[in-house]
Amino acid sequence: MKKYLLIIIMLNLLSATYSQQILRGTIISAIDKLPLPGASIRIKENNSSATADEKGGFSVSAPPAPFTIEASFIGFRKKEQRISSLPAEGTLTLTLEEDARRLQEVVVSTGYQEIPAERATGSFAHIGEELYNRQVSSDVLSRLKALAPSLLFDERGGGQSLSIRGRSTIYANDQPLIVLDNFPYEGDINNINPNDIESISILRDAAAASIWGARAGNGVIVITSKKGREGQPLNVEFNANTTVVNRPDLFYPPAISPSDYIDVEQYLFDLNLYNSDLGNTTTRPPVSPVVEILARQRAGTITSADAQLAIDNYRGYDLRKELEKHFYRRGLNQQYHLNFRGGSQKHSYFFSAGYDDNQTEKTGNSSNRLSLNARQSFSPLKNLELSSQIGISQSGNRINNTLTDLVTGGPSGRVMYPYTRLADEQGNHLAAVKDYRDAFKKEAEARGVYNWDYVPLDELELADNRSRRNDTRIQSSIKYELLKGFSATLLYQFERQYTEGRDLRSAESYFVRNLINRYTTFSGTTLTRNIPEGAFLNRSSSTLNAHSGRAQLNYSKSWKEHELHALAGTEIRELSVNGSRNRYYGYDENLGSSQTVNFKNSFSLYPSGSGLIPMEQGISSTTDRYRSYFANASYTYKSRYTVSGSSRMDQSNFFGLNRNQRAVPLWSAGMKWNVAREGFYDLSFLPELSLRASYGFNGNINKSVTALTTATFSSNTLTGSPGATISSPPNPELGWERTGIFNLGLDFGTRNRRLAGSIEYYSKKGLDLIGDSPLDPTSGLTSYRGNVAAMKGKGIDVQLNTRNIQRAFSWESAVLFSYTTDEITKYEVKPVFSLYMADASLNYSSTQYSPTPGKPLFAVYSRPFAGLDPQTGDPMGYVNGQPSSNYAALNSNTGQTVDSLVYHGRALPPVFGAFRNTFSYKSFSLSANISYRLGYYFRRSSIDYTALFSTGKGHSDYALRWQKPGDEISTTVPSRPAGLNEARDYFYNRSSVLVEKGDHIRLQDIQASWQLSRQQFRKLPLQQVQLYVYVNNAGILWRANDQGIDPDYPAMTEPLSISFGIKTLL
Amino acid sequence: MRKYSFYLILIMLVCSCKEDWLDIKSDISKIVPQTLADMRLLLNSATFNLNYTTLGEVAADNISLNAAQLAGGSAMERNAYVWEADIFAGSTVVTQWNSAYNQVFTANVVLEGLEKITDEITPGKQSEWNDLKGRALFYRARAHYDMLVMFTKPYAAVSAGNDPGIPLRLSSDIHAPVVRAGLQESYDQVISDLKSSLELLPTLPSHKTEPSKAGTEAMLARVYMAMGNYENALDYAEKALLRNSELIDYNTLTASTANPFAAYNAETIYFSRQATLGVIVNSGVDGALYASYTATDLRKALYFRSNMDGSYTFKASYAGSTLLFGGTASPEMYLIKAECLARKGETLPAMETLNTLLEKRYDDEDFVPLEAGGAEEALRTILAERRKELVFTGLRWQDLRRLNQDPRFAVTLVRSANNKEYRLEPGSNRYTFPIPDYIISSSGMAQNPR
Repeated sequence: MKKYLLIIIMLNLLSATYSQQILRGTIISAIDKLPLPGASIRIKENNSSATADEKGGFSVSAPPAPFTIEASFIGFRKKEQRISSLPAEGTLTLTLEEDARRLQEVVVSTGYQEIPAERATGSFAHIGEELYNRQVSSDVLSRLKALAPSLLFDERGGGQSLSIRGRSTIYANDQPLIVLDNFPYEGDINNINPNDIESISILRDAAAASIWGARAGNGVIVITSKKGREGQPLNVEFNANTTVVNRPDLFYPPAISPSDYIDVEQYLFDLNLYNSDLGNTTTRPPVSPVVEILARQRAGTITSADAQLAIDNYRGYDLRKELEKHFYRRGLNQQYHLNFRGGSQKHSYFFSAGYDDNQTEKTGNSSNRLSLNARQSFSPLKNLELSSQIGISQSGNRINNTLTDLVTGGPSGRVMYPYTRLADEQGNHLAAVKDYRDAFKKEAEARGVYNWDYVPLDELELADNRSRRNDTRIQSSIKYELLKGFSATLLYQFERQYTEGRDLRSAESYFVRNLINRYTTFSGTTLTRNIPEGAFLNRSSSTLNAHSGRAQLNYSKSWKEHELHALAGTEIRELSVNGSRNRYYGYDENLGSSQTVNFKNSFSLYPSGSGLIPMEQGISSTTDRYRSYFANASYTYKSRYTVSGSSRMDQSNFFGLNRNQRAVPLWSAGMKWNVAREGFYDLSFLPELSLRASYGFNGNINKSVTALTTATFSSNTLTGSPGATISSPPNPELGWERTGIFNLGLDFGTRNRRLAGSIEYYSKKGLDLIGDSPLDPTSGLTSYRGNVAAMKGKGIDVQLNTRNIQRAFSWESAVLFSYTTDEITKYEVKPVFSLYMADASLNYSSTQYSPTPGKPLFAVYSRPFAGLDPQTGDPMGYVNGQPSSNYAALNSNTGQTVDSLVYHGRALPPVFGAFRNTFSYKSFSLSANISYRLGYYFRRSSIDYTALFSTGKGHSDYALRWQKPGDEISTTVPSRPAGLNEARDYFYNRSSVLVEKGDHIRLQDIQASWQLSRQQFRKLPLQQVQLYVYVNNAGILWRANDQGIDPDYPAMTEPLSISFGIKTLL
Repeated sequence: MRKYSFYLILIMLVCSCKEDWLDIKSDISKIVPQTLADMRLLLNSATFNLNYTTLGEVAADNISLNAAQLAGGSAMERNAYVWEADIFAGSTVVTQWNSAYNQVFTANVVLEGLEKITDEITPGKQSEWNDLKGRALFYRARAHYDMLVMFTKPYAAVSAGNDPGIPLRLSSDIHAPVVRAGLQESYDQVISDLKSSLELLPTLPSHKTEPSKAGTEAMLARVYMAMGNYENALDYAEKALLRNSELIDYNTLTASTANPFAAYNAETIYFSRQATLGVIVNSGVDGALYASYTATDLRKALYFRSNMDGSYTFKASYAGSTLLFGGTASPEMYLIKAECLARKGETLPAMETLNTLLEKRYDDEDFVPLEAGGAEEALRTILAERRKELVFTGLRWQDLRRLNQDPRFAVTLVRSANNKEYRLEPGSNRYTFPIPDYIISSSGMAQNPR
C-alpha cells in the first residue's frame, strides 16, 4: 500500500508542472506526410525546445505571441515559421522539405526503445531497409556479411560464427544476442524471412547494449521488422527472385591424385602393410581394388602384365569427377514475397506472405519455407495503443545427399579410394568397396544374409531424410499514456518452435542391410535375424517454448532547453526445450507398423565381435529462467549536451538463490556533445560534429557452470546399480561474466554530407570470465571452473560515406574499417602443451582452447622448421639450436613453455572491413562491395603420411615431395617415409613452414538494378518496378598466400551465385 | 482510481513472483544432490570401492622383480620398488593422492547434504538417513586411513602427539586451507568417524560393496592393529567375527582356474579393490615367499601360477579379477584375534583361533593343528601365517611398518636392481612416502623427510 501512495504523490507532482502556455503541434515530412519523430523544435525568443515524439507531435512552452518557431531534422531543410497567435491545440502542423537528397532518418532500436541517432550516446551501427535489401538471401543474417560495421563472419569451420568487436569471453557463450522486435529470438534464425525486415541496429558498446544486461556481452543485433504506419496509404510490394548457385569446385581441396594414390598403395603393398588385412579371417576387412589385384598377382592367379594393365586402368578414374556429376548440381533458389501495409488515423497494419524454395548444390538436399506475418496496431482510445504481431513460419528440409557416408566410409575405416567409380559407361550403378571383402560377402550371402554390396548411387536414391519446423511467434502489447509524456507498456511474447525429424532408412539401404546382417546369428544352416527385416525409422522431435513478459514505464518530457527520456521496468522470461529421439526397427511404411527387438542381451556379431542392438533413443529437457529489472534515462540540454545512464539486474535459475540476491547490477553511462550546435562553432564546411563517450558493463552467460554442486549419472561398474559422481563443485561465488567497455566516438558530416561518418575507439576489459582455476587436489578436485579469468581488448571502428559525384551520374562510396584485438590477461591453469598447435578457432571447440596470459585466445603457433634433410628428405627442426630430425626431442612437451614455439600471430583477422561503391545514372544503379581481412595467420594442410598410409587421406603436396638429394632446395614437402613414422608427420604438420598469412581482398558482391517509376513512364501499370541482378561470392582479388587457398573457406570454396529479381510497388 | 489500478497490477506482477520461480533445474540430466535418493546415488559410485595404497604393495617384500619386469613399470613404480627418495618424478597428477581425497570430498558433500535434510525426515526414513550417514563416515575414514598408511610415519604412541599426520578434510569447502593435522589427531579422526558410523550402519550389508557394522568393526580392528592397540583390535576383531566368521574350505577349490576365487565370496566382509598400477605388482612373487608355502599348503597352488621365465604370478585376488583385493575379510580377523591373544599371553586360544583358519587352508588329509610352546612361539607362528595368508591384500606394507618397531620382528629388506643393491632398514624414513611435490607447493605443507 505504501508503494501505491507514493505513486499517487508522484503523479500529482508531475501534473503540477503543466500550468504554462503550451504550444502543441506536429512535424511531418513534405513528401509522404509521415510524421518525423526525433525532429527538433526551438522557439527563438525564449530558447525553449522540444523533440517530436513517435507521432511527430511536440509540445513546447511558448512566450506570448508573436514568436518565431524553428523546426529542424537531420536530412531536412531547417524551417522557420512566424506564429502570430497561439493556434488551437493540434492544429499546428509544420511541414519540412527534404534536404537536397532524402536521408534515411536514422532511428536506432535497442529492443526497449527507439532512439534518434542524434541523441544516442552509445555506439550503434544502423543498416536501413535500402541497404539491407541490396543483397539477396533466404536468411536474415548472411546479408550483414561485409555490410555491417564491426561484425565479423567466420565460416571456416562450415558453420557461421559471428563476432562484434572481437571476442570478449573464453568459455561462455560467444555469439551476439539476436533480438527481433523487442525480445530475444530463441528459435532458429533461419525461420525469419529477410524480406520482412526493415532495419538492423548493432549495439556495440556498453551504453548501447547494457540494457540487455547479462546477455549483452557479445554485442546485440536488433532486428526490426516492417510495420505499417498511421496515416500511410496502402502500399503493396512484391518481390521475386531466382538465384543460381554454381557447382562447387571439388578440385579446390588439395587432394592426392588417383594415380599418386595407386603408387602409394603399390608401395605399401610391397612393404607388406596390407598383409594383416589380406590374411584377416576374423573381421574380414576389405582392401581397395588395386590392392586386391596386387594380392592376386602375388598369389599368381593373374600375370603381372594383366595386373599392371588393370591397375593402370584405374588411374584414369577420378572420384571427384564422379561426385561432381552425381552428387552435386547447380543450386537453384527461388524467393517470392508479397506484403501490403498502410494505416488510418487509429489503425496501422502490415501483412506479408513469403515463400522460399532452395535446391542446394548437393543433389538431394533442399529446403523450403513459408512465412506469414501480420502486424497491427490500434488506438481505440486517445491514450491507448494496442499492438499485436503474429509470425508463422513453416519450413521443410530434405537431407538426402549421402556424400558424407560415401567419402568417409571407405574400406577398413579408410576414406573412399580416389579412383572409385560410381557408374559404368552405360550408366549402371557400381558397387564400391566398403566394410567387408568380396570373398566374405559371397560366402555370407550363400549362407542366406542379405546382399552386402554398397552401391553409392543406389544409396543416393534410397535416402529419405526429412525434417519439418514450425515456428509461431505471437507478440502483443498495450501502451497507455497515463499523463502527457508518461506512459506504461505491457508486452508479452510467446514463441513456439517445433522441429520434427524423420529419417527413413529403407530396407534396401546399405545401412539397414549391413546392420541386420551384422546381427544375424547362425545355428547350423538356420539363421536368425535378431534385427527384424524391414526399414528403420529414426524420429526425433524438439519443442522450444519461450515466454517473455515485460512491464515498463516510460517518461518523456521536454521543457525549455531540457529534454528527458526515462524508462524503467521488469521482465521475466522462460525458455524451455524438450527433445526426444527414437528408432523403430522393422518398420513397414505401408502399415506404419514396427517390430520389437531385444535391447537387453548382447548378440554375437557376424562375422566377429559382440554387441547390443543400438537403442537410439533419448530424452532431453532444459529450462532457462530469467528475471530482470532495468532502468534507463537520458537527459539533453540545449540539444547540445546529452548524458545517459542505464542499469540492469538479471537473475536466473543457473545460479543459487544467494547469488541472485547479492547480484550487482550491470550499468553504463554515456555522454554526447553536439559540438556543431555550440554558439562558437563556425566551421561552415563541417556542419555536423559531435563527440561521444561511454563506459559501462555488459554481462555474459555460461550455462555449463552452476553455483550448486552438480553430479552426473553413472552406473556403478561393480553392482550395475545407478550411481553418480560429482561433476562440478559448489561455487557460491559464481556470477555473470562482465565486460567493461570504454567507448569514444566522433561523428561528423561535411556540407551536404559529401563526407560523413564516424570514428570510434574502444577498449574493453573482460572481468570475472569463466575459466579454470587450479585447486589443491587435497580439496578433492584438481580444478574448478569459475569467474577466475580475465582478458582485455581494444579497437577502432571507422565508417565513412562519401558522395564523390552528384550529378545525373552519381558515385557514392562507403568505407568500413575495423581493428580489434583481444588478449588474455589472467589465466592460471596452464594449457596442455600440445593444444598450442591445435587450431581451436576453426570450429570453436572449447576443449582445444589454450588460454595463455599475454596472448590472444586464438593464435597460431608452430615449431620452427629447419628445412629438409638433404640426404633423406626428413623434415628438420631445431634441437639445442642445431637442425635435427630427432622427433622425440622436437615433439617433446615436457618442460616446454609457449616461448619455445614460433608465435605467428592471430588466427582471426584483427583488421577487416569493406569498400563499397555505388554508381547510378538515371534509373540505373550499379554497386560493388569489396571486403578485406588483414593481419592474421592460418596453418595450411599438407601431406600427413601417417594419415595417408593408415586412412588413405592424401594431399596434393605428395606430388611435390622430396625424392632425391637436391630437391630440398625447391621443396619443403618431406620425402615418403619407409613405413609409418607418426612423430615425423606430427612435427612437419605443426612446423612453421605450413603457416601462411591469411590476408586477402575479396570482391564480395555486385548488384545492378534498373528502376522504373510511374513518374517517368506514365503508362506504367505499377508505381514502381525494379529489375535487379546480384552476384555473390564473386571471387578473391588478392591473397597473401601463394597456395591458392581461400583463408575464409579452407575446406571448400563458397560457390559463386547469380540472382535475378523483380521488385514492384503497386 | 481506475487510472491507478494499472499500477497495482504492475506492482503485483513484480512482487508476486515467488522466490522459487528461479529454483527450477536448468537441465534434467544434471543432479543437484539434495534428497536422500541423490545422496544414495553419490555413495553408490564404484569409486568408493577403490583403495589407493598400491604403491605400498610395490615397495613391500611380496615381490622381487627381474630386470624385464621392473622395466615394465612406470617411473613411479620403479622408484617405489627401490625406495628412491623421490617417488613421483615430478608428476603433477598422482592418483594415489588426488583420488583418495576425491572420495573424502564426496563423502563430505553427502554428510553436509544430509545435515540439511534432517527436518524432513519421517521416522520411516530415519534408517535410510542413518545408513547414508554411516556410509559417508566410513568412506571418509577409509580414505583418510589410506593416506595415513602411505604418507605418515608408522604410528607410535609415544611420538604420535608430535608427528605430522595428514590433511584432514572434514568439510566440502574446496577453498579450505590444506594443512597437516597431527598424527594422533589424524588417527583419532579415523577412529571417531568409524565409531560414529558403527552406530548408524546396518548389521550386514545388502551388497558387499557397501559398508556395514561388520565392515566397520573389521576396519577398526585393522586400524587399532596399525596403532599397536592390541586390546581394542582384539575387541573389534571378535565383534566382526561374530557377524561373519565364514571360511572357505580351500579343499573344495580348483587350483587350475585363472582365479579360483570369486568376488564377494563368503569370507569377504567389505569389498574393495586396490587401484590398478602397472603390471609389476603381482607378476614377480618373491622366491623366498613362494618357497615358504609348504607342499600341503593349498594356498601355494591356489594363489600362484608359474611364468615362462620361472617367476610366479599371484592370481588369487578376492576381487575376482586381476585387480588386487583391498577390502576386509574374515581371515584377517582370525589372524588379528590370534595375534592379540598371543600378545596377551593366551597361547592356547591364540593357536586354536589360528588353527580354525589353517584347517581350511591345508590339505585335509595331512593337516596337523599347529602348536606353540609359549606365547612368543605362538606369536611368531601366527605372524608367519599372517604373512602367507594376507599376501597381496595391501596389508604387508602396513605390517612391515608396524612390526619393524619391535626389534624381535624387524627386518631389513634388500633388493638388487639396476646393478645395485638397495636396502630398507627398519625405522627408515623411506617407510613414509613423500607427499607429491605439487601438493607441497600448492599447500605449503611440510614434506616428509626421506
